Amino acid sequence: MAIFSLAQRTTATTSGAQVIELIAGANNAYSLKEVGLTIAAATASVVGLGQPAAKGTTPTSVVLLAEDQGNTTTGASSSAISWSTAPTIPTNFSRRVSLPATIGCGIVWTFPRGINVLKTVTQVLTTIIASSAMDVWWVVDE
Amino acid sequence: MARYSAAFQVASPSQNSGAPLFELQTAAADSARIVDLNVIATGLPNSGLTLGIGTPATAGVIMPMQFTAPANNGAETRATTVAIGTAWSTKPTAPTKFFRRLSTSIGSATSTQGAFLNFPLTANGLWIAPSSSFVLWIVTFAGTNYANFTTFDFHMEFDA
Repeated sequence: MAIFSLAQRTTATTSGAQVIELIAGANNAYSLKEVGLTIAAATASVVGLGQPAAKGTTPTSVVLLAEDQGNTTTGASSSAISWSTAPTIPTNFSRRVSLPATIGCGIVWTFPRGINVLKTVTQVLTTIIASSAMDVWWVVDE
Repeated sequence: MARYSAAFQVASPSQNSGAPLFELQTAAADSARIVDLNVIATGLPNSGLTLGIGTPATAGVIMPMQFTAPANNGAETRATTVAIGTAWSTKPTAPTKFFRRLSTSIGSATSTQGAFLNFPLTANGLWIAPSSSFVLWIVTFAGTNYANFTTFDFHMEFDA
């Protein structure tokens, strides 16, 4: 297994929006090790992490980067901030955070034993209230 | 491999979007593994900064090596071949994708904000291949009061 990561700027800001989705490959699970985010606008934000009730369809996905440049294997996991149909809001959240209306506020969640996500399953960040666009990064072991 | 630490300051950093702050380059026969990167900006523009770290699409041509990181172990006699530069004859180009990105708060001439990024050894750190490059990049530099952005301090630990 190897470590892969990716950082993106989200765009969705409305209440109840799934702003970014981390998608496991068709034949590969991943272990989510770390999620970091900072808000990019002065908007009080509440954000949750969880598994969507239904994953997004036709995502515009970006493959994660290997943190070991000597590893030439392409990552199987990908991240998306837009879809033809967005994922749906998680029934329950693994994590949630409230951030003040200050650009640059953020949080880093780490999962020492990982959140293990099966192949074809996803994790999303949800704006629980109307929130700011965010800089988000994922770190996975796959 | 030995552990090296680099702590340095960029005075009068770039005040433009799409610009490098510093670049680390590995030699032809040596890789490097970054385990810790701390960045602190003193004086922020009034709409903040967005920073990212990644591999540039094209490495820069660093002016003659500006910083040589000392080994953490005083008994280590091997100098690192890793080049760290904050000035270039040819600047690196923007990474296509970023490993990490973050936004700073808006600020003033006296405000200070930083981030501490860790790449645990249990996960092999952030590995830079031989003849490769790594940059801290200004993705966006927004607002006015550009003159506020006066200094940028870095601390980095890496194995090489």
